[in-house]
Amino acid sequence: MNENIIEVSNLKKKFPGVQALKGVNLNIPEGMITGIVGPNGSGKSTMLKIISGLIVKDEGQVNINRKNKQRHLMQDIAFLPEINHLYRWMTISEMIRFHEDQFLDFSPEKANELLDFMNLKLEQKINNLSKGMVARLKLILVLSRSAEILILDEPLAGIDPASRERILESLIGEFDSANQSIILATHEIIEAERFLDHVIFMEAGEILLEGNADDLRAEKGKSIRELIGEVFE
Amino acid sequence: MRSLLSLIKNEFKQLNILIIVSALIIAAWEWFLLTRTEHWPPGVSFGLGFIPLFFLPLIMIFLGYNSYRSEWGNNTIYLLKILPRKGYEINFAKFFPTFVYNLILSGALILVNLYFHQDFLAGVFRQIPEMLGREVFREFLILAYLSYLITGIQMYLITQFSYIIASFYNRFRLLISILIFILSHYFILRVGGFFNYLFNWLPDFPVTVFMENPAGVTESTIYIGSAPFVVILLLMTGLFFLNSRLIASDVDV
Repeated sequence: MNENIIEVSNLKKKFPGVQALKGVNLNIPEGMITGIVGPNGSGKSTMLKIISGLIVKDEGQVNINRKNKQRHLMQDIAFLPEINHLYRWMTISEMIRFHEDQFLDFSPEKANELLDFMNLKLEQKINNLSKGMVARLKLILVLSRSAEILILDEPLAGIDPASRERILESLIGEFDSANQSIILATHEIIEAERFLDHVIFMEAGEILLEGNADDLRAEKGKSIRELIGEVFE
Repeated sequence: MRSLLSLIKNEFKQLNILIIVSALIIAAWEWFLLTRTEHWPPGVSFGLGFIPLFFLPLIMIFLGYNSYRSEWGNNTIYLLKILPRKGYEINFAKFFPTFVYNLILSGALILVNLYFHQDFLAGVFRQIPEMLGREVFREFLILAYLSYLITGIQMYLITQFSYIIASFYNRFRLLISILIFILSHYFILRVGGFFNYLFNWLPDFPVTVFMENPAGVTESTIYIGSAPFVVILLLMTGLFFLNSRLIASDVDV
């Protein structure tokens, strides 16, 4: 039985006019790939941002590595946001150097290997990259770190199927389950399902269902994709 | 240290265009005035040469407002917030290039103006005992320049604070920023006045002045209180750390 790397209890967050999280309780097991699935506005991104320290919770508790911190220095967490958060005036090479300067656990060698695999060139300017290329670059920057927790918010959103496959392949290829845990919020469950060890279903700021992916499949006799249809109908 | 330098370098790169454009405009203005020196009455070119100094604090206001607004606009605020850096490091990386920009541009402007109008200044100094005249001028210049730099820093930090506070609200952000900007100045005046009493024990700055009377020109010394300088620097330091804390821990992205 894996220990929990993240424990969330009674997490609440309200934005003007909407209660984004309504007292969420969940556990993220260590050394696994956890998928958070749910429709738009279900609170997935808000929860991941709170865990990552990007936004402030209203109530509740978040324990990471059994430490209760409202804000963490981001050395333990590699966060990949849904939007393009990179400096557009930089080249890929400059962005890699910037990450190398900022993160002690960043490996430029690994980044260069992944660039080849993802068909990106060091001299390309970020402003000139397509959406799919930016998504691949963001993933390279996250995977080149040896952070304990990788939090990926919609890494496959808006990406063509070929790139999606490539992104997932590199994600799984680089995942070190002995030392890392991945939390993945995604809509693209068809591609991602086979990689998920643990699944959390969220809707309207609440957890509807949570459990080990294999157990859920065995218990319900359905794939995760089919379960989504059932849970969210 | 390497990470902080990398952040500072990053900010300098983003200021590049502004630095080049404003330096060129100021250079063009000074060159124009130099070409008019012989055609205009004495001292006019010299006086007009300082006009850009009034615009630099306005640029500081713009830079203070834009320091985090541009990060929000480009979504790069995510990148800043996921860095394993303390808030004050990130804020210092933003502040330092702006301060250096203000320091170099205003300093260069004053030096260039003094250098190219030496004849005019020599004429002015001939009116009063030469050595003492230069000394007074130097003391006055240093104090005035210090006050000028502090005003620039104050403008920058208060505008930055106003923007950060406004970012807690979803509507009327510009209006809220302006209100906070005005209220902060009022608050600093009131609080500054109170704290001045606490620092009255600090030694004052002596400044030599000349008084003209029937007996001729006599020299005397006046003292300018150092407490207001210290208080405003302390308040600005506090504001710098408050802005850093708000950005790192309290503002949602």
